[in-house]
Amino acid sequence: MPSESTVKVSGFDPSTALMVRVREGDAEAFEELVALWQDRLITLFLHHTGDHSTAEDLTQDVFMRVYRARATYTPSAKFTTWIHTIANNVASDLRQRAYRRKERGMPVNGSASSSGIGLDQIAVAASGLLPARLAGRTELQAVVQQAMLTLNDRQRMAVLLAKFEQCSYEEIAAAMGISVPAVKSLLFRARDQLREALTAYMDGGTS
Amino acid sequence: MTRSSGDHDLNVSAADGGDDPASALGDVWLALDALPRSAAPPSATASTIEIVALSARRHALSPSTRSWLAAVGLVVGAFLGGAAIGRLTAPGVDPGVLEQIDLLRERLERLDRQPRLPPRPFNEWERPPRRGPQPPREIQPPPR
Repeated sequence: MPSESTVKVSGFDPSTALMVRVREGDAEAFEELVALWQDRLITLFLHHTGDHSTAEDLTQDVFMRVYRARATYTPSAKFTTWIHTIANNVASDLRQRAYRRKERGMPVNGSASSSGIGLDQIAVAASGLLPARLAGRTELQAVVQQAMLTLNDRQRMAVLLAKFEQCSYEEIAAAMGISVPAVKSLLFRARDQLREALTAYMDGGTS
Repeated sequence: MTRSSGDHDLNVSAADGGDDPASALGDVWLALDALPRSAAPPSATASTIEIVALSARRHALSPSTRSWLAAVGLVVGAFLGGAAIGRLTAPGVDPGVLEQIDLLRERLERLDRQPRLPPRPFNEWERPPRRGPQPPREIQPPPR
């Protein structure tokens, strides 16, 4: 897999430089772009949907959209923001599909929004781990994953872009098509909700 | 893009949110480190490229092919539309016209039944009287 440092940069960041080559019909550049971004997107969608195969499908969907829209890409737009916007749109489409299926009374699969996990359940799960306090990373991981699924889709996307993609407020706002204050609001509420979900574990861990 | 009303209800100042998302999330930020980073299987890149190529082949018709198909579609559509309109708007058969057709057919049949003249050589045809300057008429004296 090519690292970002091995990619030729001609005044742009590596991903942008690759995308410019993709726009010009360079298939090899597209392959490099996929290799560069695949793991990042799968991670993003895995924690967004809670399902690995759905995450892989959504990642492929993102690359399909990137390829189809290659002609419209302008290097003035930072590739990172562009692909985050596409990822957010793909996640939104998934949410809308799930909503429509729910309205029609069909089973919803793969989406975290349908997990129906409540804070009380998280608290029980977390407190169940407390006595041991030896809960390893796997248990902590499970608790945090469950806590993430209590957030709504937009809060979760904002948190994931911040944590895994190191996006600033402005970058999250651009990717999600909302204002910076709205991003702050999303993160503020997400923090409160995650804190509430993880209280038992965090208190137990620090006591 | 739709926005949930709840996202905007709260007035969040910069101080509330912190300077960056990490400080906004506070102590929760560190807890999120527990979330694993996923790695795609080795075959994933090839699989993605294959799917994208397949999709591109399926969806991407070249502009020239697309315009050619559009032109053919337009012609066929116009033809079918014209035929349909013609069928709807064409007047019914006029009985008067049919009567005349019968009359014409009857006359033609009668002509066919008449004996034909034997063919004559061209030079035996009578010459029609020439039209030219007429000889002066004799002036007759008035009756007495």
